[in-house]
Amino acid sequence: MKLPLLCLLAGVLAGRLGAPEYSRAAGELMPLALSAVVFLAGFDAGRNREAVLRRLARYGWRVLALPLCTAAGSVGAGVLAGLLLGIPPGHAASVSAGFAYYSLSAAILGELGGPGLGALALVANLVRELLAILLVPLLCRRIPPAAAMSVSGATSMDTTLAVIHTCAGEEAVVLAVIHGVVLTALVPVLVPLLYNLL
Amino acid sequence: MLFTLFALAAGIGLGMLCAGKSRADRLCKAAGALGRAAGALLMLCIGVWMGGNPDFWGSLRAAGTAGTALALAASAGSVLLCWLAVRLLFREGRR
Repeated sequence: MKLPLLCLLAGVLAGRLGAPEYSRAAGELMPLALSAVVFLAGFDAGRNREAVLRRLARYGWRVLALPLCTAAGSVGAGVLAGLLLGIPPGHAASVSAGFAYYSLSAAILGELGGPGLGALALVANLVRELLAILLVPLLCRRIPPAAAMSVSGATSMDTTLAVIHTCAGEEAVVLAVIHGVVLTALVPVLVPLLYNLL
Repeated sequence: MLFTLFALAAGIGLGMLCAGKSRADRLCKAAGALGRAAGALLMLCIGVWMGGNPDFWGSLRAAGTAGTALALAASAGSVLLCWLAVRLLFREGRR
Protein backbone atom coordinates (compact mmCIF):
# COMPACT_ATOMS: atom_id res chain seq x y z
CA MET A 1 0.00 0.00 0.00
CA LYS A 2 3.06 2.25 0.24
CA LEU A 3 3.53 2.52 -3.52
CA PRO A 4 0.27 4.40 -4.33
CA LEU A 5 0.90 6.84 -1.48
CA LEU A 6 4.48 7.43 -2.60
CA CYS A 7 3.23 7.98 -6.16
CA LEU A 8 0.65 10.49 -4.92
CA LEU A 9 3.26 12.43 -2.93
CA ALA A 10 5.75 12.31 -5.80
CA GLY A 11 3.02 13.54 -8.12
CA VAL A 12 2.07 16.47 -5.87
CA LEU A 13 5.75 17.47 -5.65
CA ALA A 14 6.26 17.11 -9.40
CA GLY A 15 3.09 19.09 -10.11
CA ARG A 16 4.01 21.81 -7.64
CA LEU A 17 7.60 22.19 -8.82
CA GLY A 18 7.23 21.27 -12.49
CA ALA A 19 5.90 23.10 -15.51
CA PRO A 20 2.12 23.68 -15.91
CA GLU A 21 2.21 21.33 -18.92
CA TYR A 22 2.81 18.41 -16.55
CA SER A 23 -0.48 19.12 -14.79
CA ARG A 24 -2.35 19.34 -18.10
CA ALA A 25 -0.73 16.11 -19.34
CA ALA A 26 -1.61 14.37 -16.06
CA GLY A 27 -5.20 15.58 -16.42
CA GLU A 28 -5.35 14.04 -19.89
CA LEU A 29 -3.72 10.79 -18.75
CA MET A 30 -5.99 10.40 -15.71
CA PRO A 31 -9.07 9.02 -17.56
CA LEU A 32 -6.88 6.41 -19.30
CA ALA A 33 -5.26 5.27 -16.05
CA LEU A 34 -8.66 5.25 -14.39
CA SER A 35 -10.16 3.10 -17.16
CA ALA A 36 -7.24 0.67 -16.85
CA VAL A 37 -7.71 0.43 -13.08
CA VAL A 38 -11.47 -0.15 -13.38
CA PHE A 39 -11.03 -2.65 -16.25
CA LEU A 40 -8.40 -4.66 -14.36
CA ALA A 41 -10.40 -4.58 -11.11
CA GLY A 42 -13.37 -5.87 -13.13
CA PHE A 43 -11.15 -8.56 -14.66
CA ASP A 44 -10.16 -9.71 -11.18
CA ALA A 45 -13.80 -9.74 -10.05
CA GLY A 46 -14.89 -11.62 -13.19
CA ARG A 47 -12.15 -14.22 -12.71
CA ASN A 48 -13.40 -14.81 -9.17
CA ARG A 49 -17.07 -14.48 -10.09
CA GLU A 50 -18.23 -17.36 -7.92
CA ALA A 51 -16.93 -15.80 -4.72
CA VAL A 52 -18.25 -12.37 -5.75
CA LEU A 53 -21.71 -13.66 -6.71
CA ARG A 54 -21.90 -15.75 -3.54
CA ARG A 55 -21.19 -12.68 -1.48
CA LEU A 56 -23.63 -10.46 -3.41
CA ALA A 57 -26.37 -13.07 -3.12
CA ARG A 58 -25.75 -13.23 0.62
CA TYR A 59 -25.99 -9.43 0.96
CA GLY A 60 -29.07 -8.94 -1.25
CA TRP A 61 -30.90 -5.64 -0.77
CA ARG A 62 -28.56 -4.75 2.11
CA VAL A 63 -25.97 -3.71 -0.49
CA LEU A 64 -28.00 -0.52 -0.96
CA ALA A 65 -27.98 0.23 2.78
CA LEU A 66 -24.27 1.05 2.68
CA PRO A 67 -24.37 4.03 0.27
CA LEU A 68 -27.48 5.36 2.01
CA CYS A 69 -25.67 5.17 5.37
CA THR A 70 -22.65 6.89 3.83
CA ALA A 71 -24.94 9.67 2.58
CA ALA A 72 -26.78 10.08 5.89
CA GLY A 73 -23.59 9.91 7.98
CA SER A 74 -21.73 12.41 5.79
CA VAL A 75 -24.54 14.96 5.74
CA GLY A 76 -25.39 14.57 9.46
CA ALA A 77 -21.79 14.88 10.63
CA GLY A 78 -21.18 17.70 8.16
CA VAL A 79 -24.08 19.71 9.60
CA LEU A 80 -22.78 19.15 13.16
CA ALA A 81 -19.27 20.27 12.16
CA GLY A 82 -20.81 23.26 10.37
CA LEU A 83 -22.60 24.32 13.55
CA LEU A 84 -19.28 24.25 15.43
CA LEU A 85 -17.50 26.18 12.67
CA GLY A 86 -20.27 28.73 12.22
CA ILE A 87 -21.18 27.51 8.71
CA PRO A 88 -24.94 27.66 7.89
CA PRO A 89 -26.53 24.16 7.98
CA GLY A 90 -27.61 24.35 4.33
CA HIS A 91 -24.05 25.15 3.22
CA ALA A 92 -22.44 22.48 5.42
CA ALA A 93 -25.00 19.84 4.37
CA SER A 94 -24.68 20.57 0.66
CA VAL A 95 -20.86 20.63 0.78
CA SER A 96 -20.83 17.30 2.68
CA ALA A 97 -23.27 15.84 0.14
CA GLY A 98 -20.54 16.15 -2.50
CA PHE A 99 -19.25 12.72 -1.28
CA ALA A 100 -15.75 13.51 -2.68
CA TYR A 101 -17.16 14.26 -6.16
CA TYR A 102 -15.39 17.62 -6.06
CA SER A 103 -15.79 18.74 -9.66
CA LEU A 104 -19.57 18.42 -9.75
CA SER A 105 -20.27 19.62 -6.20
CA ALA A 106 -17.97 22.65 -6.58
CA ALA A 107 -19.62 23.54 -9.90
CA ILE A 108 -23.17 23.25 -8.51
CA LEU A 109 -22.41 25.15 -5.31
CA GLY A 110 -20.30 27.76 -7.10
CA GLU A 111 -23.35 28.53 -9.19
CA LEU A 112 -25.85 28.40 -6.32
CA GLY A 113 -23.86 30.03 -3.50
CA GLY A 114 -21.05 31.92 -5.23
CA PRO A 115 -17.30 31.32 -5.57
CA GLY A 116 -16.70 31.14 -1.80
CA LEU A 117 -19.03 28.19 -1.35
CA GLY A 118 -17.73 26.63 -4.57
CA ALA A 119 -14.16 26.83 -3.20
CA LEU A 120 -15.27 25.32 0.11
CA ALA A 121 -16.95 22.43 -1.76
CA LEU A 122 -13.83 21.92 -3.89
CA VAL A 123 -11.47 21.80 -0.92
CA ALA A 124 -13.73 19.71 1.34
CA ASN A 125 -14.35 17.09 -1.35
CA LEU A 126 -10.76 17.01 -2.62
CA VAL A 127 -9.54 16.57 0.96
CA ARG A 128 -12.09 13.77 1.38
CA GLU A 129 -10.67 11.98 -1.67
CA LEU A 130 -7.16 12.36 -0.25
CA LEU A 131 -8.39 11.11 3.13
CA ALA A 132 -9.85 8.07 1.41
CA ILE A 133 -6.53 7.23 -0.24
CA LEU A 134 -4.74 7.61 3.10
CA LEU A 135 -7.32 6.16 5.49
CA VAL A 136 -9.01 3.26 3.66
CA PRO A 137 -5.93 0.97 3.95
CA LEU A 138 -5.59 1.80 7.66
CA LEU A 139 -9.32 1.41 8.36
CA CYS A 140 -9.49 -1.91 6.46
CA ARG A 141 -7.21 -3.43 9.12
CA ARG A 142 -9.49 -2.41 11.98
CA ILE A 143 -13.08 -2.38 10.68
CA PRO A 144 -14.91 -4.35 7.94
CA PRO A 145 -13.90 -3.16 4.44
CA ALA A 146 -17.57 -2.45 3.65
CA ALA A 147 -17.53 0.26 6.33
CA ALA A 148 -14.01 1.46 5.54
CA MET A 149 -14.87 2.17 1.91
CA SER A 150 -17.51 4.72 2.98
CA VAL A 151 -14.73 7.35 3.35
CA SER A 152 -14.31 7.13 -0.44
CA GLY A 153 -17.88 8.29 -1.06
CA ALA A 154 -18.66 8.51 -4.77
CA THR A 155 -15.02 7.81 -5.69
CA SER A 156 -15.24 4.18 -4.51
CA MET A 157 -16.19 3.29 -8.09
CA ASP A 158 -13.23 5.03 -9.74
CA THR A 159 -10.25 6.90 -8.28
CA THR A 160 -10.11 5.06 -4.94
CA LEU A 161 -11.20 1.69 -6.36
CA ALA A 162 -7.54 0.72 -6.75
CA VAL A 163 -6.94 1.34 -3.03
CA ILE A 164 -10.06 -0.60 -2.03
CA HIS A 165 -9.12 -3.45 -4.37
CA THR A 166 -5.61 -3.65 -2.94
CA CYS A 167 -6.63 -3.74 0.71
CA ALA A 168 -10.02 -5.51 0.57
CA GLY A 169 -9.66 -7.89 -2.39
CA GLU A 170 -11.74 -8.59 -5.48
CA GLU A 171 -14.87 -9.42 -3.48
CA ALA A 172 -15.07 -5.78 -2.35
CA VAL A 173 -14.85 -4.46 -5.92
CA VAL A 174 -18.49 -5.03 -6.87
CA LEU A 175 -19.66 -3.66 -3.52
CA ALA A 176 -17.44 -0.58 -3.99
CA VAL A 177 -18.78 0.02 -7.50
CA ILE A 178 -22.42 -0.21 -6.37
CA HIS A 179 -21.59 2.14 -3.46
CA GLY A 180 -19.94 4.62 -5.85
CA VAL A 181 -22.68 4.47 -8.50
CA VAL A 182 -25.48 5.16 -5.97
CA LEU A 183 -23.59 8.07 -4.38
CA THR A 184 -22.58 9.53 -7.75
CA ALA A 185 -26.24 9.52 -8.76
CA LEU A 186 -27.21 11.17 -5.46
CA VAL A 187 -24.74 14.12 -5.73
CA PRO A 188 -26.59 16.19 -8.40
CA VAL A 189 -29.88 15.59 -6.56
CA LEU A 190 -28.84 16.08 -2.92
CA VAL A 191 -26.44 19.03 -3.27
CA PRO A 192 -28.98 21.57 -4.63
CA LEU A 193 -31.81 20.03 -2.58
CA LEU A 194 -29.98 20.41 0.75
CA TYR A 195 -28.72 23.88 -0.19
CA ASN A 196 -32.29 25.06 -0.84
CA LEU A 197 -33.99 23.12 1.98
CA LEU A 198 -31.77 23.95 4.98
CA MET B 1 -19.53 7.49 -15.43
CA LEU B 2 -20.87 5.47 -18.38
CA PHE B 3 -17.38 4.81 -19.72
CA THR B 4 -16.24 3.65 -16.27
CA LEU B 5 -19.15 1.23 -16.09
CA PHE B 6 -18.37 0.01 -19.62
CA ALA B 7 -14.71 -0.57 -18.67
CA LEU B 8 -15.84 -2.48 -15.59
CA ALA B 9 -18.30 -4.61 -17.57
CA ALA B 10 -15.64 -5.38 -20.20
CA GLY B 11 -13.17 -6.36 -17.47
CA ILE B 12 -15.71 -8.61 -15.74
CA GLY B 13 -16.61 -10.23 -19.08
CA LEU B 14 -12.97 -10.96 -19.97
CA GLY B 15 -12.27 -12.18 -16.43
CA MET B 16 -15.23 -14.58 -16.64
CA LEU B 17 -13.93 -15.91 -19.97
CA CYS B 18 -10.49 -16.53 -18.46
CA ALA B 19 -11.74 -18.07 -15.21
CA GLY B 20 -10.60 -21.65 -14.67
CA LYS B 21 -8.57 -21.85 -17.89
CA SER B 22 -4.99 -22.90 -17.27
CA ARG B 23 -3.84 -21.23 -20.49
CA ALA B 24 -5.01 -17.89 -19.12
CA ASP B 25 -2.84 -18.16 -15.99
CA ARG B 26 -0.06 -16.04 -17.43
CA LEU B 27 -2.58 -13.41 -18.52
CA CYS B 28 -4.07 -13.36 -15.00
CA LYS B 29 -0.64 -12.88 -13.44
CA ALA B 30 0.12 -10.08 -15.88
CA ALA B 31 -3.26 -8.49 -15.11
CA GLY B 32 -2.39 -8.40 -11.39
CA ALA B 33 0.92 -6.62 -12.07
CA LEU B 34 -0.73 -4.29 -14.60
CA GLY B 35 -3.45 -3.46 -12.07
CA ARG B 36 -0.86 -2.41 -9.49
CA ALA B 37 1.01 -0.36 -12.10
CA ALA B 38 -2.21 1.31 -13.32
CA GLY B 39 -3.16 2.14 -9.70
CA ALA B 40 0.26 3.71 -9.12
CA LEU B 41 0.02 5.66 -12.38
CA LEU B 42 -3.44 6.91 -11.41
CA MET B 43 -2.16 8.14 -8.03
CA LEU B 44 0.79 9.84 -9.75
CA CYS B 45 -1.56 11.58 -12.20
CA ILE B 46 -3.91 12.72 -9.41
CA GLY B 47 -0.89 14.08 -7.52
CA VAL B 48 0.58 15.95 -10.50
CA TRP B 49 -2.83 17.30 -11.46
CA MET B 50 -3.49 18.58 -7.94
CA GLY B 51 0.05 19.79 -7.33
CA GLY B 52 0.11 21.85 -10.52
CA ASN B 53 -3.45 23.16 -10.23
CA PRO B 54 -3.37 26.81 -9.09
CA ASP B 55 -7.14 26.71 -8.40
CA PHE B 56 -6.55 23.94 -5.85
CA TRP B 57 -3.81 25.82 -3.97
CA GLY B 58 -5.78 29.08 -4.11
CA SER B 59 -8.92 27.38 -2.74
CA LEU B 60 -6.86 25.60 -0.11
CA ARG B 61 -5.63 28.94 1.22
CA ALA B 62 -9.10 30.47 1.13
CA ALA B 63 -11.17 27.61 2.52
CA GLY B 64 -8.57 25.15 3.77
CA THR B 65 -9.41 24.87 7.48
CA ALA B 66 -13.20 24.81 7.13
CA GLY B 67 -13.02 22.46 4.13
CA THR B 68 -10.67 20.06 5.90
CA ALA B 69 -12.87 20.06 9.02
CA LEU B 70 -15.97 19.35 6.94
CA ALA B 71 -14.19 16.55 5.06
CA LEU B 72 -12.99 14.97 8.31
CA ALA B 73 -16.44 15.22 9.89
CA ALA B 74 -18.24 13.84 6.82
CA SER B 75 -15.76 10.95 6.56
CA ALA B 76 -16.07 10.15 10.27
CA GLY B 77 -19.87 10.31 10.14
CA SER B 78 -20.09 8.02 7.15
CA VAL B 79 -17.67 5.48 8.64
CA LEU B 80 -19.53 5.47 11.95
CA LEU B 81 -22.95 4.96 10.39
CA CYS B 82 -21.70 2.33 7.90
CA TRP B 83 -19.86 0.48 10.66
CA LEU B 84 -23.10 0.38 12.68
CA ALA B 85 -25.00 -0.76 9.58
CA VAL B 86 -22.46 -3.49 8.89
CA ARG B 87 -22.68 -4.69 12.50
CA LEU B 88 -26.49 -4.71 12.39
CA LEU B 89 -27.14 -5.91 8.84
CA PHE B 90 -24.05 -7.92 7.93
CA ARG B 91 -23.19 -10.54 10.51
CA GLU B 92 -19.57 -10.70 9.39
CA GLY B 93 -19.07 -7.22 10.84
CA ARG B 94 -18.60 -8.81 14.26
CA ARG B 95 -14.95 -9.60 14.55
